[in-house]
Amino acid sequence: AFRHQFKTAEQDGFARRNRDLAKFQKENLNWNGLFQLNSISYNSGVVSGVFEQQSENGENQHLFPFSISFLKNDVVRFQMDEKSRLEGTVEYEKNILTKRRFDASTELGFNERAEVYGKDAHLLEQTSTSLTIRYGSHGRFTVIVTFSPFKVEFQRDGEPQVVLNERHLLNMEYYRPKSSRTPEQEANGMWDETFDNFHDSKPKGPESVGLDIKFVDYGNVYGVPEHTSSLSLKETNNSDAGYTEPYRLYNVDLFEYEVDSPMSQYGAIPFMQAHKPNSDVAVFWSNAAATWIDVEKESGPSPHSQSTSTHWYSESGTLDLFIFLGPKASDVYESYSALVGRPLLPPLFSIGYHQCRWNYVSEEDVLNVDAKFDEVDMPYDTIWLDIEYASKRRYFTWDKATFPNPKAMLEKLDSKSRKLIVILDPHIKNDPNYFVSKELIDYNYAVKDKSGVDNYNADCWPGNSVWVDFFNPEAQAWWGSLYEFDRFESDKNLWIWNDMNEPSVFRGPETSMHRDAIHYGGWEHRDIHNIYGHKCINGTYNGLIKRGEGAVRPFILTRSFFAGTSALAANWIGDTMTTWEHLRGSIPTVLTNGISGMAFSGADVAGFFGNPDAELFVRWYETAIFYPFFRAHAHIDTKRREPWLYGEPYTSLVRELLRIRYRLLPTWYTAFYNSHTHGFPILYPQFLMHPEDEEGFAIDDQFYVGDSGLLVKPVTHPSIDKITIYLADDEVYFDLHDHTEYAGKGHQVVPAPLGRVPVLLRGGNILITRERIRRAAELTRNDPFTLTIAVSKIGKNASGFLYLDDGVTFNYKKGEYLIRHFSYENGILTMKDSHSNPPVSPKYSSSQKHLKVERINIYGEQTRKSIKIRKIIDSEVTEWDVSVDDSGCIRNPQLFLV
Amino acid sequence: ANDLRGVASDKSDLYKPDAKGNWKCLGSDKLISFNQVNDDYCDCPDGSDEPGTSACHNGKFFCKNTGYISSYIPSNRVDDTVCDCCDGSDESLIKCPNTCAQKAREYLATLEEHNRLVKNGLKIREQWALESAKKTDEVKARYKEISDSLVAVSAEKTQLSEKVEKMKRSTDLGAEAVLPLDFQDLRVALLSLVDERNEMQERLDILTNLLDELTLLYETDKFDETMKEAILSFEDLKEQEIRRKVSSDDVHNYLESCNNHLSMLTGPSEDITFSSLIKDIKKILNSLVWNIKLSLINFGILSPSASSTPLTDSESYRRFEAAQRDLDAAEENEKSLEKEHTKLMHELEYHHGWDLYRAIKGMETKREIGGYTYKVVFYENVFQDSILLGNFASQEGNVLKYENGQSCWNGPHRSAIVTVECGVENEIVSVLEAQKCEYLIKMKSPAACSPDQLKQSLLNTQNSANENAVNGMEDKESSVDEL
Repeated sequence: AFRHQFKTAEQDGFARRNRDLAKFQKENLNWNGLFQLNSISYNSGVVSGVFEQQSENGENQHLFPFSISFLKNDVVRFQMDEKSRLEGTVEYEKNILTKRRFDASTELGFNERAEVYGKDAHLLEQTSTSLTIRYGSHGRFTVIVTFSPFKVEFQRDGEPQVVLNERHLLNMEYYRPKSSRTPEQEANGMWDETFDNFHDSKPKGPESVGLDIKFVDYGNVYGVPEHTSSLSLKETNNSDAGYTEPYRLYNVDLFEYEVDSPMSQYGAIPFMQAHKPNSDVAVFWSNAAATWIDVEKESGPSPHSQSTSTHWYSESGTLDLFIFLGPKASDVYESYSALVGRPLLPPLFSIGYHQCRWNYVSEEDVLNVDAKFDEVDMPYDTIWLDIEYASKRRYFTWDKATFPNPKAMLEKLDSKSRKLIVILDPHIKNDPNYFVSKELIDYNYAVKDKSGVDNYNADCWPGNSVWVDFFNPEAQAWWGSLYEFDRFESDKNLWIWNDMNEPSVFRGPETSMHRDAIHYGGWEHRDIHNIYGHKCINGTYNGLIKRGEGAVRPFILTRSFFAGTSALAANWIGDTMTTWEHLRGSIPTVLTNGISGMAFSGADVAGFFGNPDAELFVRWYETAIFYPFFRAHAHIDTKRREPWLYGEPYTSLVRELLRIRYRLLPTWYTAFYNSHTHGFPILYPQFLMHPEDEEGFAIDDQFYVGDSGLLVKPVTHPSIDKITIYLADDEVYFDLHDHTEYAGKGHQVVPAPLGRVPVLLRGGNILITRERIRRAAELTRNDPFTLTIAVSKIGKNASGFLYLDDGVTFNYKKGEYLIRHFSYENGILTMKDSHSNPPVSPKYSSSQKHLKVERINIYGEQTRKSIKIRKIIDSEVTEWDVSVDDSGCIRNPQLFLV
Repeated sequence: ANDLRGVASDKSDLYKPDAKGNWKCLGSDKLISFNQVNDDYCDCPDGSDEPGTSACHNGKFFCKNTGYISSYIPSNRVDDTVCDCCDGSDESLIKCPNTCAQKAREYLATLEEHNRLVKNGLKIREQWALESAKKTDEVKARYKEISDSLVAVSAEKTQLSEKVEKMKRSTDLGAEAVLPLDFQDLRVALLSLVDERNEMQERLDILTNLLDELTLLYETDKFDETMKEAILSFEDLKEQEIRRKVSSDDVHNYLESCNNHLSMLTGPSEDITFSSLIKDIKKILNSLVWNIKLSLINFGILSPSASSTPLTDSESYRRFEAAQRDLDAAEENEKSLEKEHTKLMHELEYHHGWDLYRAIKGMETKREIGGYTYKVVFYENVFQDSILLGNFASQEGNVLKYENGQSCWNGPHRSAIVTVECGVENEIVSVLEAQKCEYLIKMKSPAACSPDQLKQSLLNTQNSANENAVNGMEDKESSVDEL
């Protein structure tokens, strides 16, 4: 990586100042922080108050109103702002600059989902030194606000869980006029800063915000993507086993990124989850500016336990922190996703296999690859086009020399239910003869440079470019309108890839936009940088919704993201290398994205830069069939890499791997439904499935597929034919390939020759699959199901869950879906429907009468000769017996879903 | 007969139950109830029990396609709501329109157009083949001419070789016979000279003694001036003589050295070729003569001003050398002719893939695509504007490979694969940079036309007449699709 192009904390003025504060505190343990409490009161679910701080020179007093609000879903919100900027009594050299601090929650719509809900909040005690409030629907949560020094402690059942400002690092840099600046302030980076020869004029001066957050008795914390690091976050205080730099959240186009680094990558979600046995808590720091997070471990209150102390600081914006007390991880995800937006329920095709490459160079090339998939009998759903399809990289146009008839190409793909996805980036070629550019400039929808008057001009793929200002609602709507079929010559099976939306600026500071560029409303780029990509996707999403007349679910792939982007798009983790290290690093990255809300995530198969040897190629496919987002992609300078090009035996191995993915489409789709409904990740880290087993809390090289019971440990080292997989309990696990049983807590050796990815089905689960492999995912809509019952060792039972709908439209919101619960116990398989909301449409239900279970496999009950099937639909019970053959298979049990 | 779905009529006999109502899988010994055939559940490992459903992932479905061409499709395309058989028989969940008649019309029109194109292409190809044959005849004539020249030159070489060999033998014989004798005579002469020198030395000693006695007896005042002058001159000479004295040992050493040199020359070694022997002899003789001359001068026998005549090349040797030069020239000429002979033979025998190679070598085809002008030169090179994409390397069927083009900025050398299809003129159809710096070029040319490309209609207009062709159809299905 080009490390020198990206800032270290020492090189980021505000980070340096906040880290210096932390150092000062460690050396002055009696120090009580910068702020004194001026006033505080509690009323109707909100604690309100004002902090005050003296100027450095002692001449002025600065006031900071704050609140602690009790919200729905047992969430607490801590907010703080600056009175003078709120009231607009500040003066900047540029009149165009807004005076307020940026509030990401307002911009992103979180406020609409963060209603105060004081009904369950009760003031228990108020003294001259503290305030105690009990809250939560179950009455188990307590918050204790200590006045001096200021501290907020969150307790569950009387035990401290999260503590704010224990180290008194609360910070909000007050407004000061530029005329008052001192050489010392200059040296501290409060004013003009230069990095890598790029100048930041910093017209508003210092405005950073910071806070320390402690997770008491929690030794493991996770989240704050996007970076390639371990799942359980490492310390950032110069530990031998950790880092010397804080985790960074500043979306950048990181070229050939490092594995095992806290360096920021393409997306930013300031969400952190802490876990200890059977207990989860989390915080969400709603801020769109550059953010750094220090992580330190210290002794916990229990013997042999650890607490984690974190320090968060952002360059600008308000302090807006949400606290989730669990106690279960599922509670955290429900509450957090209810706030930022539930992850999307993607169209079915998008969880199939995507074939991409920079660049398929012509219509003929596209259709040849499409035909070859049929010839070699491999399924795939989507083929992709990178920037070369556009005439001179002018997006929304086609290079007619190579793509003369895009609609005809799309029609041919559509005849087999396949899709095309094309890249469209938010940088627009500065060209008066290009309609998008002309409109963007004529309508004044472009980002401005620091003058606030001229358009921000810089280089990206098309050369000199201007950028869409998505903070202008009109610009957003205009951008969305460009996707109409009459504006962009396309058809209904064309979907969108928005790349370079960090935004990436060639030869810009840190390969991105100058922080003093000006956006609509007078915001500096500094204030909104980490959500620029999200706003871009929001514009695209709304445009595609409109294109589909509100009926069709869009698919968008984004590189940059923030909290809430998962409601709109999938992401991929950027420009991987074709190495075993990057293959290994992709797994914790995808897991981290998943628990932070960006569940629909994957890595380029089999690495973006370089040419993999056959072994790495096949192993990467073994891993990738278990990424939520499964796409092959490679750099333009690499060799062609379609899955048949390595010849036999590798072609057959990859074909079989693709078939595993397609067999499991019902499993994946159900996992996405659970994600959409509850905010759960698609892939469950070990700690999520076994919250009591401490040995698994840091494991990040194996995972579960949703709650299906499938435990996967990909092979990520060369020259291996067996692998050790960790079992967290004494349950029996069945090898999905040959039904071999594994039991006993601890490490088990599983065969893993090339092409055989280690997958175990945990006892107690029923796996619901479709064994008929079609050319594309949508073509499976009428196919029967196979149930695989893995009988548990303890209790001798099993259960499973299936969700299905048309996979294309939003009609599931009108009841056009089916939910079926399967359970097995004592030789009885029960299938029942669910009383879910909205009610199932009878018309839709009737249209699915042909759906059936064609086969039932039973693992773990060798001696059983027959079972009873009990079908419960609309409370009507039907029962019949079916026979089990010698291999544990039930042939055509006459079980229909409706 | 009521055919099973997905089974060709001529194979329906394979799908009949035995007396017990059972049926055996076609590719294995597994026995199942006949009721299980086409029951949408896969029982046979080879998929043969479900020819008409998608239950088996490895089955094959027969499309009757009455009016068009029967074909097989993979079973995993049955009942997937995509119409693959033109008669729609692969879909029972949706209604597929029967497009067989339309496809048949399109097929016949395409077939007719294809055949017309092939015929026209073949006509042009015949012209090129004739032209190529003419050029081949020219090459053959050239080959014959070279062959004849080669025979003549070979004969000349043989003759010259014999002559040289003969001269070598005669010269060798002469040398072997004569030289030792000459050397012996030379030794005798040398010994005589030494004897003469010794005798003269004795006389000189006597005279010296006489003069010494005279000097002892004379009294300067009693002799006349003439006598006095003579005595003084003698004394001067005596001093000079002492300085110029050469020892007898030196003489013996010189003689021994000369004798050794001469001994080496009396019996030539088999390892020495005649030419080198002559050269060595000349060198040694010159050295010997020079040494002898120096010795004689040192001994005072020979005046330093005496000139010497070096040995000269014999006339026979000069004739030999001339003959050898002629032979070498003949050999060189033969070699050159053989090289061209081999080249022409190779050119005549080597199969370049196309029999009209000579007619189209160097033929240029140009087209502008994507802002670049591409130029394909048959059997020479391919250019993109002025960038060399490759030089001709090999041909395999109708695929020409050009390699080692200009180097890419960060990658391999450029290369191009030109796939040629039958056409009525040379035309570049498309250029695809499928991978960085690797260009796939599609061309049309009469050169790629072949009579076996002419196609007969495969339509099955009757229910049974053409069904026997279905087995063969599997292999030809792709060629039908290519029409």
